[in-house]
Amino acid sequence: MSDLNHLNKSVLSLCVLAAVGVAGPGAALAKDYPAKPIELIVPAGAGGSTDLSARVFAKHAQKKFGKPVVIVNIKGAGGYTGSKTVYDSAPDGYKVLYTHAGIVTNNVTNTAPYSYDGFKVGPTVIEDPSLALFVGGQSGMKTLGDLIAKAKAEPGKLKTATEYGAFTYFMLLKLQKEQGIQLNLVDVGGDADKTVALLGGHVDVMPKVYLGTEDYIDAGDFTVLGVAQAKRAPNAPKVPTFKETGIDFEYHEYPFTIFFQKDTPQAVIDAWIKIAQEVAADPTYQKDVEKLGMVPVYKSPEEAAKNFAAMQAEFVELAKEKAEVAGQK
Amino acid sequence: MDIFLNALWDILQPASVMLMFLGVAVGIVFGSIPGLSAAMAIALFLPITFTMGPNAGMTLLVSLYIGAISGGLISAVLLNIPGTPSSIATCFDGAPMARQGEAGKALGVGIVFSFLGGLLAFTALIFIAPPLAKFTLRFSPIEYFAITVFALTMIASLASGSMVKGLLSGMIGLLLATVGVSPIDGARRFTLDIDNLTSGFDLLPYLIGLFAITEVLIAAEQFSADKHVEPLALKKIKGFGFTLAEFFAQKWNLLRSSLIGLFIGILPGIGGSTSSILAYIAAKKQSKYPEKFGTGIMDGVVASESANNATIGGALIPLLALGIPGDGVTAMMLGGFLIHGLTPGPLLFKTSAEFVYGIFAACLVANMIMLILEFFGLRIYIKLLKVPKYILLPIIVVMCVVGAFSVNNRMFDAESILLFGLIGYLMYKAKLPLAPAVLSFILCPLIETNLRRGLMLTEGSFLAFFAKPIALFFLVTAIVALIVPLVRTFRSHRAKAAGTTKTPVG
Repeated sequence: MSDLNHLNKSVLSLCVLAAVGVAGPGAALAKDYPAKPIELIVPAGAGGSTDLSARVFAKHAQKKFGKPVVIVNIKGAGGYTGSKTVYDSAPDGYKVLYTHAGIVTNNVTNTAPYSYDGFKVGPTVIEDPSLALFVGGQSGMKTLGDLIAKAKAEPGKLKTATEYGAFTYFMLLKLQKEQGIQLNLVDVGGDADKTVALLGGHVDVMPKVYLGTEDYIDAGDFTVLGVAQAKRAPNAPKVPTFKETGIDFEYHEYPFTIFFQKDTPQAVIDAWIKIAQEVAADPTYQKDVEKLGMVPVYKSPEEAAKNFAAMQAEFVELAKEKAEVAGQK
Repeated sequence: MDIFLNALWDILQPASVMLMFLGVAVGIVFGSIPGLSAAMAIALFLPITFTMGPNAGMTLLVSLYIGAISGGLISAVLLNIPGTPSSIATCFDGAPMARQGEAGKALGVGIVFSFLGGLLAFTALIFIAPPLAKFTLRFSPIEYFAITVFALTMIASLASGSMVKGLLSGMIGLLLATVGVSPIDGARRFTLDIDNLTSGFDLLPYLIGLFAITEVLIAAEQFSADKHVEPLALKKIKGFGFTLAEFFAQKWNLLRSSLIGLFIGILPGIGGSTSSILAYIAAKKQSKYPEKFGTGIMDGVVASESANNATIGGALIPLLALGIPGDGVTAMMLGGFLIHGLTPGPLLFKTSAEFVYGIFAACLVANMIMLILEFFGLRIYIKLLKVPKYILLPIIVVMCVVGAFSVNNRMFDAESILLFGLIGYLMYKAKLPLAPAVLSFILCPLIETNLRRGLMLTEGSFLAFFAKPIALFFLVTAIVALIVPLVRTFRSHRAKAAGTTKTPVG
């Protein structure tokens, strides 16, 4: 039967003309929630890490809900097009957003007029704490200390792959500020493009999650300098933290989190909290998430909101300083 | 080799052959219906493959991909509407052939050369994937910029007849492509404070509107004019509808087009629609009778169809050898790998050789199945021409709306096809060619993004672009491609002016 549930996404997409008619007024009462299939809006294309993790979560959540949780990919404008769909939706809990720090960066870079607090924040259900820095295997750099020394010797010369305004971009801004260094931040695109850029020697440094780099580390093409966390990442246990290598530099994990339209009744959110807790405790779910190279978690809406608030404050500050530096030039 | 034979043996088990027949058949349906694309077929079946074993899952996805890309030629030939973005160039000669009663031959040619283009590329995939993949690593944004600029100058060759009209069409494409937030810094352009315009126009609704809706409007106009619309005459065909001599005359065209398809496929992000158009242009340029292109000759169908199927093999190369997806379809396949716990990367060949060779075998067998299914399907497809247009076209419009919606699950895309249909219709009335508008729409974001990224790499120096050999080659070729026709036009005008006492032209 679960195959049929998967098919629902397709059926829903294809029969949407009909669905548009159904999703009008007269939404079901919160206490009966969910009375019909829930759309989980993923503001990214099919096949990426946001999409895949959402699919795994939805697969397990719909078993507990007893109603299909249908993945709807709405990409564009760095995630804004998707989040806006939920922002503008009816507050009935049938259009729910699944996203990560992009909800904050979109606001800080002025793409979206709202941030995480334009929504009711739900639980964080999956994390990726393995964001690390990589350099070429032949670069001679072995630790973050080496990188900092090199950047200090040649300010603004180390080409560092990033995607402007994205999560890793703010990581690099933070690194520059805390360590007093100047890198040459080069936009090369997403994870696949970054990997090509470092492999092809077009850039010197790359921030990326650990997944997909293991082969290159084993083959000697890449050296991983460490992860930007207080503790080693469970999904990259071999990689030391920066602190272990002697430099105190920490950043956030990717927090895949559920968001609701701002006026959604608490009963709906409570239903999701219960489901998220049950799903997180399910060993088959944990195994499925681990296969994706990510970490299954449950973080309460309060914890999640605190985490997003911290990112918001930090990114706004970093963006302001960046603008001031640019203004002086 | 043993591993490969084992994989082939596994693939040839009844259950997996059945699965592949199903995959190819569904792919053909998706490919042949305007509005539904290869990417959609795969997005739809991806969740189902999660519950299968990794080999069965990948077999199904590969079959869908191959079926869909080749299926696009059916509506391109019969309706003058590309079934998938990859089959745009197939319309150029395929549709005129059909109008001359040679629909069966056009389809037969398309099917056989789809097969051969695929076969050549899969052979390259099996034997030289790792070195080819390494080659792609030499392409930084600077090389991408040079290559896409070069491709854009090819608009000049697509502008059959009037250069001014070709350029005008190209400008329309560029203009529409710049709507939305700009790459890299996210500035809003031409969004008119309409939120839906923030993410810009999507390629698929653009193509659907420009080709399908325009075609429907033209047909509707003919009805209202109360003209009797005659069903297309059909010549009887034998086999695939062409002779051995005709086949062998295409051997260089096949080879050239497949190589172009393979090359474009290997480079992430450019895709089958560009490769088939470029192969078409190359065939036209190399031809002894370029003036016949567009009037319904098989050369045009051969070029487009062998290139777009070769692009599949090309796109699989960086995916399997480096773990890097080249387009939306291979990005979804990568997702399939991860769900099954396979780590994509250069060591996949070593750590999961059986899996990789399973994909190779699946490509070869699915390609064969495509040939068989379409050979028998051919006689059914051409019956489509017997369906009255007043029944067929409304169905197509419905599929187009559904297809445009499902690209990104929003109504705005479905609505935008009307706008593009209107633009396409006006362009038809003004006798502007559509192809330049398509090529420039696809290339514009690639050129802009890679220019800006390239400038970051060189710290703002344009001159440094010319220091890179690959970029230098393509940029110089592009400049030559622009100047030569200008000089030629100038000379012929001067010759005319000198040869006649009347007012000089131009």
